[in-house]
Amino acid sequence: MTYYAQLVLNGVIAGSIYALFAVGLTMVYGVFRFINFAHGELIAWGAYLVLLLINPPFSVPLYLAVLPALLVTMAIGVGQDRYVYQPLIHGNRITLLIASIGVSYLLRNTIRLIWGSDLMTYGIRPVRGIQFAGLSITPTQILMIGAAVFFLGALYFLLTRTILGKSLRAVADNMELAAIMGINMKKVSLTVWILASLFAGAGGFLLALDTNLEPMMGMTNMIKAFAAVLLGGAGNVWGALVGGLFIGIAENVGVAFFSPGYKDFISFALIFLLLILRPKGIFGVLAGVR
Amino acid sequence: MLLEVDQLTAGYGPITILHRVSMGLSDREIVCIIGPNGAGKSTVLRAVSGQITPEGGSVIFDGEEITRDGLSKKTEKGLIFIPQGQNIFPNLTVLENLEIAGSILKDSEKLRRAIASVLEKFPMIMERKNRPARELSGGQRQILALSRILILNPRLALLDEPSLGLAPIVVDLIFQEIGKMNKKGISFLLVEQNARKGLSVSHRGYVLELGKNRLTGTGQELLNNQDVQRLYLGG
Repeated sequence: MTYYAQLVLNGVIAGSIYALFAVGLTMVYGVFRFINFAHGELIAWGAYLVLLLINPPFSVPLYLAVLPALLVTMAIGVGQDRYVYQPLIHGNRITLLIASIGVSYLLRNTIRLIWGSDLMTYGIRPVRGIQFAGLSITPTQILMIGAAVFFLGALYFLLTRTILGKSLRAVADNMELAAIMGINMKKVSLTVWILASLFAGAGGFLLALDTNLEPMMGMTNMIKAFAAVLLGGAGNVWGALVGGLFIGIAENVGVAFFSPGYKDFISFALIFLLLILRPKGIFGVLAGVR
Repeated sequence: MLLEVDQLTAGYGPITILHRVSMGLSDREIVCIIGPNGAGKSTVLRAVSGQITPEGGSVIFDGEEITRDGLSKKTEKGLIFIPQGQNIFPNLTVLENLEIAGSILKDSEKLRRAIASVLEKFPMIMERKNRPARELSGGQRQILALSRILILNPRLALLDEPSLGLAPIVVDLIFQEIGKMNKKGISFLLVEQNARKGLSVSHRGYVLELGKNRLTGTGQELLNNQDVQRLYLGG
């Protein structure tokens, strides 16, 4: 029994990070109506920028490296929009999708160029997990859950209690009407890209802290976030959050039945089934807060 | 004249819909535009409101030339546009819809008071203020959309098909509200598919055809006009 409880706990830890990725991805979809395939690269760049700063010539202590790394990640996110997506915004949505695949290749291979393709770590000694009721959790994992709760809680506050957040949801609902009502589109799109990059970069750093870094980490996690977005219904923020948690738990509990090597199979299978059976997500009927 | 539209030419990209359309509206007047599908009725509202930029001609509002001003600038000057159909945010709550509708008001205390008075005026909306607006009925949605006029208190409101898809009894209610707001000093330029209803509540009307002026007159004159009766009022 404890074995399964531990798997569920591991699932919640992974799922809280997937939720961070998925929420950003679905917000971009909600406002701009395309899936940003370069979202994964924001995850990887968040992690690699911290690696850059803690090593020579910078040699900044880890806790001081996080903030500047996240700021640069946000600049990459806003830059994607400004220099690639905005010039194409009036075109076909497929054009944006393809452009984002291009941006994804560019950013991923820049990582390969600078750091190579090998696994890397922050070189922090692993800490023994804290034991309680037969379950084990490391301080890093507690930080992962804590950060996800903090970011998603702040997002909830922003979206439901501030006029900027309400404007963002209004734009996601009906962009034309939002423009008629005088909502500042530039401010809203900047907010969306800043939030999406911040959540991706922070999640990427936490994942790397818990495991390791490799150039494909963005792509792998982007696919999981994509599955979570579909599960929650594209554009539905709270659906994506629940979807992320669900995928984290499904993957980790799946380890009890499949070899861990097939972990990623679960999100792909989910994407496949959802696209065939429930393209509007499992909350399609409820529609949820966008 | 509160609004003077002179020789307005407008359209979408390479397609010109309106060809030198002219019309006027006095202060405190309700003016209705009627005409068959594709006559360019909605395009007049889009061009006057600033949602699309006119190619030629001029729009003068309260003595000031505003032809090429954008939506927000015109809204600030007291000219607002309520589009047809999807004119509320379905996933925002009723209260949030009202907040967004009034978000251009700089004075948040004034906005809060305006929202409170709208909610007081319409108990059926008050009851659902914290529910998503998608749960409202068609008539309630239209009332919610029209509440923007009460919140912003403009000089002129452009309404595109306020009766679209509503039951006859609800249409009467909507036009009653428009009449009440007009008595308080707000002018209306409206487009109506339901020509009989539109003309009967309007002081004057314009008939458009293929993007050109066809006829004009008081609401009653147009209702009695044989061509109008034959073409738009079903005999």
